Amino acid sequence: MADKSSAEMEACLLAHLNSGGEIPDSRSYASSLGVTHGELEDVIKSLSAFRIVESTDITKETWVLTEEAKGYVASGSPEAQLVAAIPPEGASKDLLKEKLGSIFDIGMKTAAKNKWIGFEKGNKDLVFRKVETIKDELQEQLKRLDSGEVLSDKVIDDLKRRKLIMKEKSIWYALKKGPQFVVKRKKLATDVTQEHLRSGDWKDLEFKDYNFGAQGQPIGIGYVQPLLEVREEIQNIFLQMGFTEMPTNNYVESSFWNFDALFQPQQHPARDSHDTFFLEAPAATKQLPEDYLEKVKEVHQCGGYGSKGYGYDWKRDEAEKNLLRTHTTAVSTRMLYKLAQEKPFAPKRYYSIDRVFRNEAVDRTHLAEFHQIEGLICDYGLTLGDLIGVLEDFFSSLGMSKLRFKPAYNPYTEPSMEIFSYHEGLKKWVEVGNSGMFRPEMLLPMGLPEGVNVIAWGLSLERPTMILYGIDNIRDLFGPKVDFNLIKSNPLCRLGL
Amino acid sequence: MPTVSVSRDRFFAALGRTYTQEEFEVLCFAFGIELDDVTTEKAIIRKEKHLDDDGEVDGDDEIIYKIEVAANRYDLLCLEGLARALRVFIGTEATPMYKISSIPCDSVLQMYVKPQEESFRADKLMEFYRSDMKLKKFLHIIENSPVYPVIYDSNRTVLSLPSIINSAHSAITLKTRNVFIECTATDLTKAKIVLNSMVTMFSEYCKNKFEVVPVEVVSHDGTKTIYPDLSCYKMEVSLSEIVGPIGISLDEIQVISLLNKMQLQAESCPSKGEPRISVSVPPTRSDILHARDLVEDVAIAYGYNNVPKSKPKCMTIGGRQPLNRFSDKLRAEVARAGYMEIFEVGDVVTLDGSRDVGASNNRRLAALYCNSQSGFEEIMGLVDRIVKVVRAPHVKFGQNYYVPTNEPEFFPKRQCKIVMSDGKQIGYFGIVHAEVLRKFGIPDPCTFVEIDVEALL
Repeated sequence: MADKSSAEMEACLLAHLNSGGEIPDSRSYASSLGVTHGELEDVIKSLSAFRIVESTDITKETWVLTEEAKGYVASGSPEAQLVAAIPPEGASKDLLKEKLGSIFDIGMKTAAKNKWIGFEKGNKDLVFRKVETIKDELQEQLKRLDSGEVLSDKVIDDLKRRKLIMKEKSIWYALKKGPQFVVKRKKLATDVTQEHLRSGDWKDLEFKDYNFGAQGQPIGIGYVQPLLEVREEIQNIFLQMGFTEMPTNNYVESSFWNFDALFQPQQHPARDSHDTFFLEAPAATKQLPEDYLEKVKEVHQCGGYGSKGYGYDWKRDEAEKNLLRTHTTAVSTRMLYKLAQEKPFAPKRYYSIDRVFRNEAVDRTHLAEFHQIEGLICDYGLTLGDLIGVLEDFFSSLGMSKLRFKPAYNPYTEPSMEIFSYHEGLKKWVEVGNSGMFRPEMLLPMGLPEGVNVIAWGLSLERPTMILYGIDNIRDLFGPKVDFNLIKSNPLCRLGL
Repeated sequence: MPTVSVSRDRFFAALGRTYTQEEFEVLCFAFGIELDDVTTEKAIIRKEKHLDDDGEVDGDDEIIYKIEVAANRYDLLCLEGLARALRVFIGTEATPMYKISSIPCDSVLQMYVKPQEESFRADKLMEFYRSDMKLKKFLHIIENSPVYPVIYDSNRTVLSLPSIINSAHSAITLKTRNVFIECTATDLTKAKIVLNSMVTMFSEYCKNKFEVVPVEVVSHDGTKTIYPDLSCYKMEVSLSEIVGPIGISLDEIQVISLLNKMQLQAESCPSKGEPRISVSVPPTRSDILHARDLVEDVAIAYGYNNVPKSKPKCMTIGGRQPLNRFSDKLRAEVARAGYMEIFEVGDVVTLDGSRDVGASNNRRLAALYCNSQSGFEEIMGLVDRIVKVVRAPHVKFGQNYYVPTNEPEFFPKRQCKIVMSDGKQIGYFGIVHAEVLRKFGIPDPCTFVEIDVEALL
């Protein structure tokens, strides 16, 4: 039926309204166009939405045929079908039942009532026709209803009872010109296509309003770890300040480089297996710089370089024990030792950000492994004032410009300072790192010249990241239970901007 | 760091004044200790017993300050020492001079050390104490020693089985007037430090304040030593050795007065050139090992936050480790390919006999694709991309760099290794075997790739 496109229907409708005025009944207009009302309805709705036409709803409840009744219109009522099926000599009930199927019972009943059929005497099973012709009233009534005729209430009730008709609500429209009436409306564009650009159509494009309340398309995208984003920015701060990165890709370290070389005595509680992961394999270090080891042993046992020493029996076995490094300062120590062997002495600024391991109870703020940020400067005549100056530069780049320093203890730094920063959100001073000047007992046995000082500081990468992003559980950030949504929704790291 | 619990009111009485908590915290911060917690005996017991705030418990309601002190300051581990250090710091008291009473040689108490005089079976005793929760942790100190220490008085009454338990015979009461202090250790230096800390802290309550009656210890070889040794450790330093590392300029008089605030007696030494200072380190300050320790004390007394800030003058050029820079480039490439980063580029550690410690790190890149299908081609596409971007004159790949493998962790015929043109394997990938997925509790198919980053550098 539909041989008109919606554009054609729209053109006809608008032309009709433009020349004649109104359309009182959209149903009859649809049939005049040769389209279904449903097809025309889409065009009407689109035109009304833009107020090009003004439509008034007309609703009416009408009787329509059920599927069963439609069958009777086509093939006749059950009783008529039954009579037609009986040959002049009559037929058995079984034969008729077989021919008519489901309508047999109802056909028998009505045909008998209408006295159209009879039965042989003494044989109720044989059915005869009693009339030559019949008038199929039911079929006629159904046909009349279907064509829109109004039937008497009695007939309607009867058909309703036989479930041959049902009520249906129908809507159609009365149409007239709307306030925005045009004979030909402009199609609003939703997008710009290659075709528009190629043909030059873009000059005439008028755009449909965009729904900015709707979300954009989800896009396929990669994500970077927030912790590593922060690492990169901190790295940039170090690089701007002239620091060189240290090679920290050695998680397995000997106690010698992790502790002894830092003048950390062998009975120090940090060297207990409760705090440090010692290794079963490789359990011990095979190679240590012998000359240097002798000097380290000496300074622990009996001092030297102006020191009393710790006055205990230093054991090589203890120094050879392998462990997962507890701080990246083990690498700094190796680097300083290496620097001490290079003559003449040249000042250095070193930094590293890498993983360290502590045998600690895991909770919301602690993991057994985390990242340590470390910076150090090695030169003649460095002072505590220099350390404070460098820390202020470094931390102000991280957005912490108010610093305070508290005396602290650390076996390998003297003086030692804890770094506190005023947290505007928490309205209090929070500890943000540790710092100090490496002890002469650590530096002089390496062979660094007298008068060379090392100022150094360290902090964890996780803590500032958690504060920065408001993360209260470290396991959401790092490790096997990392929160994918956190990684996906994390804003850009703006440190140093 | 150790924490010392003191009654707030007794502590303020010892300090000779009261403080608001805020004032006290400021003092702590300057001195380098920290008010860790404010609590009561009741609250502590409640916490131990996991009771809520209304739980009925014994104990006192007086306020307790828990103060964290530096791990090397044994002189701050009791109320007496802590209060004295702060009194001297704020200048309301001078550093005391500890000394031993002068007693005629023949009337000095003697203590004899005699090894293996008699034979006892002590293994049963060890077993007995092993069942004691409090004492068992001290057993290891002497357990494997061929001889056990035991201390008797002159009547052969046992006073102590050191490291484990003391005798009720020697328990002190409020009526005790003469207290015998004995320290035993496996390390003589430590024993002396503990003894000096104990006697100096006790000496505050002695009839002659800060005076201790000595004991002569007669060793098994007959050598005699008088304990305790309360002499001061003398150090002589130049003025510049002290103020130089801080970066302040003070004269020797100022430095001496700052040292005094830290319980260090000091005086100016006669010298022709640079001013020199002689420092007497009291027996309470075992933490002072080097002139650098004096530097720290002067800096604390001066005030860390009063030290003028300065800038190191050395010119250096910044730079990165090539491996780390290269890893970052690969990380970015993988993220650009649409992967979510959860540390895909990181180090694994393997045994390595060529290294001093016997192990070395190796930088690896790993990526996992997981979906309703395995994504074998997705991972292959990622590898193709990586191979394309890492090519360099010294990093060569042939036309076909995939070689089928047959490893149990992947499905057969859906796995391969990645090889460079010289045949060196730099990685592998495959559809993870269903048994592996099951053991990790993963219901969806996965393809996994791992690549040796260092081989591509």
